[in-house]
Amino acid sequence: MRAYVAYVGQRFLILLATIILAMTIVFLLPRLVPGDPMGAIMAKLSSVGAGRGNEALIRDYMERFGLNKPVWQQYIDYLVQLAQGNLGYSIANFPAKVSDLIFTALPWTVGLLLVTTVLSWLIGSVLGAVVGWRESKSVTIRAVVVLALVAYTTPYYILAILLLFAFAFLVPIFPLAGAYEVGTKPEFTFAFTVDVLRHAALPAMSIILVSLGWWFLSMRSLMISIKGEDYILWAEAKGLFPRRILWRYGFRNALLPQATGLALSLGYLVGGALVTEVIFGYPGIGWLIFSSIKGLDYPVIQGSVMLIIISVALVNFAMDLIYPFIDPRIRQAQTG
Amino acid sequence: MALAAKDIITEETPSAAPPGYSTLILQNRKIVFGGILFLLILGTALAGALMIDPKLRRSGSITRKLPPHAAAVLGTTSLGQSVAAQMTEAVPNSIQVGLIAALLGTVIGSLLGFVSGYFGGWVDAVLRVVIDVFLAVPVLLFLVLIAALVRGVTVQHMAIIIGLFAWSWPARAIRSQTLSLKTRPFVDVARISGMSGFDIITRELVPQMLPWLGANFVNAFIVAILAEAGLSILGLGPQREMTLGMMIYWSLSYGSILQNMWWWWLTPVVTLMLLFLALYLIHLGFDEVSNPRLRTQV
Amino acid sequence: MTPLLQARDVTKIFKGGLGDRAATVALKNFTLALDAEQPTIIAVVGESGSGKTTMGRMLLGLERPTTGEILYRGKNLLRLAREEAKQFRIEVQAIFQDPFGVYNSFYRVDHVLTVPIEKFGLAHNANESRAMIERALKAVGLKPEDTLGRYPNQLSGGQRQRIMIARALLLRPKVIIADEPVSMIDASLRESILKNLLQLKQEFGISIIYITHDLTTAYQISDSIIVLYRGEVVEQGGVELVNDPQHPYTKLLISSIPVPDPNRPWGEDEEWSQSAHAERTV
Ligand SMILES: Nc1ncnc2c1ncn2[C@@H]1O[C@H](COP(=O)(O)OP(=O)(O)O)[C@@H](O)[C@H]1O
Ligand SMILES: [Mg+2]
Repeated sequence: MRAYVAYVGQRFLILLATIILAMTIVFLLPRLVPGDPMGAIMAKLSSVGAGRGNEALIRDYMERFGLNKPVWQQYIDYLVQLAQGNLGYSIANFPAKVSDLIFTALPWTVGLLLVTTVLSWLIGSVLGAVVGWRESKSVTIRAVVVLALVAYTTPYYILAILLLFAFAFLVPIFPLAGAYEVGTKPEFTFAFTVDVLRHAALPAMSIILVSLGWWFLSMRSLMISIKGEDYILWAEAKGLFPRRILWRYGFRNALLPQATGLALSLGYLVGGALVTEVIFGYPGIGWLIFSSIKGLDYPVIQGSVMLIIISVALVNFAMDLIYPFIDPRIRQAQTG
Repeated sequence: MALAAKDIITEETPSAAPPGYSTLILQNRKIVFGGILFLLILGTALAGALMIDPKLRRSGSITRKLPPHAAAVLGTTSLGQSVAAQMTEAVPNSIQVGLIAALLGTVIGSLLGFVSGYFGGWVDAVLRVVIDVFLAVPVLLFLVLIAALVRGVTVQHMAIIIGLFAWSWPARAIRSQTLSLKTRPFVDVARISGMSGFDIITRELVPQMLPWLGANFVNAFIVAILAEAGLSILGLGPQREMTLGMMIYWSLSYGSILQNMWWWWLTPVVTLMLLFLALYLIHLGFDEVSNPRLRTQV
Repeated sequence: MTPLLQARDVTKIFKGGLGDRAATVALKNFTLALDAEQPTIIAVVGESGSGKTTMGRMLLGLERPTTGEILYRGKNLLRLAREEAKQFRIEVQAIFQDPFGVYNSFYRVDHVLTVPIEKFGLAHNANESRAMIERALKAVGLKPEDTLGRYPNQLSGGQRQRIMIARALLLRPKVIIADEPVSMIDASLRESILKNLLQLKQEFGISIIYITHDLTTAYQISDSIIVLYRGEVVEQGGVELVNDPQHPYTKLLISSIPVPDPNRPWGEDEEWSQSAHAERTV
């Protein structure tokens, strides 16, 4: 048990460090980058639509950035604001709050990522396990392996562009952009759900295909190496059914490194998903960032980036908490 | 003083010298094939730069929206630029980004990884947290922040920004490799031979890891080109210069897919894929050279 | 007179992996003083896992004691000044168990010979360095022209281990810590390597701490013996203790070796050791 606590403490430290780092970088960057981006932001602010609310916006920013105060004071103020969940106002869509914009976009990104990650991880791992276990050198298997290699080495956005071309233009079965038909309102009806799925199909497919290749390949090579391990040979000697050995011993033991890979790839995955959203005009965080970049809406970029970094860190931390229950070595240390 | 002759044992010995790295690399089909492909892509672009009038890169220099034809072998854009002329600028620029960023990332990563892994102690404890943090963070987002602030980035800016965030994977990989290598007996021998920690890292560990560092470098190269294109597609690329990412950005912005101007978007996409294929093959090859057991697996 | 090398109540504990996994006490309250004025061979004997290697590594300063201290000429290893540390490295040398792993496969075998010369500034120029190396190689019965310029995998285990002996000899140390120097050597070559060790003492006046799990070879070449059992010294004394062991573990060790006549010292009768050897390997 003490081992677990020490381990959790260490992972918590990393979580904390990540969050502090993210907040600090977001705070420092505009002040460090040459060319006075802060001045540019202020200028942009002053030019935002005449009259109503304009002054409130500027006041808010003067307060937020408190440019006349010493830097440490600015930093503390900033942290206090963040702690209150206050991310400020959007410049391009004033008087919309940054947090409101983010929370409108967030469900689309989370939904897309969650479904695609779980699906690709499951399908890839199971396929990889079966193929790795067989160790067959047949033409089909070789072709599958090469295909997986190609999928895995293809960047998300390239696959996205190709899919867009193939299934939205050449053979237009799926819509070109958006998350649902323009004009309809998000509601829980059958028709709307189908519409959402149709719109999500291409972005989801491009993410799944790329990550699927990776999970497949890593599970396959894990399986190949696990096959030679003592406990497998022992299980075979005991006369267990091969299929039982595959799932009970092989698959289980490969799951931990496979799960570790999942956690490590999350950051990469999120980055990839953001770009994919842009290509499909999918109204998630990636699209929000994209349009904010076009509108020089720095507060929104800042808020989105911070939110994503912190969420990814939290998910990683949650996974870290679970590992010991999958990893027999750590489990032993707890009970024994 | 010497032992008597009868004590000199002459055993039979394996005779062949182990092949050096250069031989292993030149004999590796993946590296050779990947290398040739890479040079072909770069060579074509450089040769094209000599043959194609650079003026054709400017908008309005040629009739708009033409499919490939004699005057523009890869067609023209909605803005009246020759795609082929753009490619002669984009390919070297993208490769330049990859090269500079990978160099930065590998050098910083090696420094941190070797120091952390070899010296251990509190330095390692601190560095490990730092490395873990940067591993967990979607680095692309930091790049977004910076690129959003630095308006008018150049190709070199992109390279440096990407490189400054490209060290976490190499650092982690080199650290764990160092941890396992430093327990090898030859490190003990080096220590009792008067080598300092710095000596051991540079003269004992680095040579052992050369192909492996090569694999890391190529990997960082791939990641950097990927990041450049990703940032560009998000609209954060160098607006006044051409890279493969910027070509995709412009072609998407002008709806080239919907307008069936396949030559516009397909050219940079295919080139990127070929570039990845080349680099990935080289990466796999270096992996094999550094760990011969891998060869049987794929 | 301060001893050259001294271990004072040294204990080494290896922490288990994650947090509080069972820690290993590799060595417990170990004390040893080596006054190298009179060359001597001290054997440290014990079964695998008894802490021999850990002891050797601590004496070499490759590992830090958990408690207790290692002293070089009366001074703690951790507090040696730069020049003293260099002197320590020269005077206290080692030969390791694995005759392959000690070579960096990137380099020719020459590397292990030239590095110490370079680092300790033992030669003024390349010729001098080359001459030193050749002399050392010849001294251990190797032909320089057969060994230099080769890669480690081009030489046999015996040749590789002799080069390591030559490497140590090159520095003219006062003491060499030899950690199971023959256990990974082809059985037919062990005797000659052991002879090399004996010769280091007799001809060059180098003391040796001979670490082994094999009481027979310990008895053959050493002057005194320390028996380690699970990290603790259970028996210690002149080599005669083999004739009258006190501790049950030592008795067990002795009873497991077929020694026809322990009163006949090794080295005078070649045939005897050959036959003993033959019996051991059956
Ligand atoms: N680096 C290490 N980490 C953890 N335990 C170790 C380490 N080195 C040795 N040990 C443990 O210390 C004990 C003594 O090992 P060692 O000194 O190698 O014994 P010997 O050389 O007599 O075989 C063993 O139980 C071994 O597992
Ligand atoms: Mg040992």
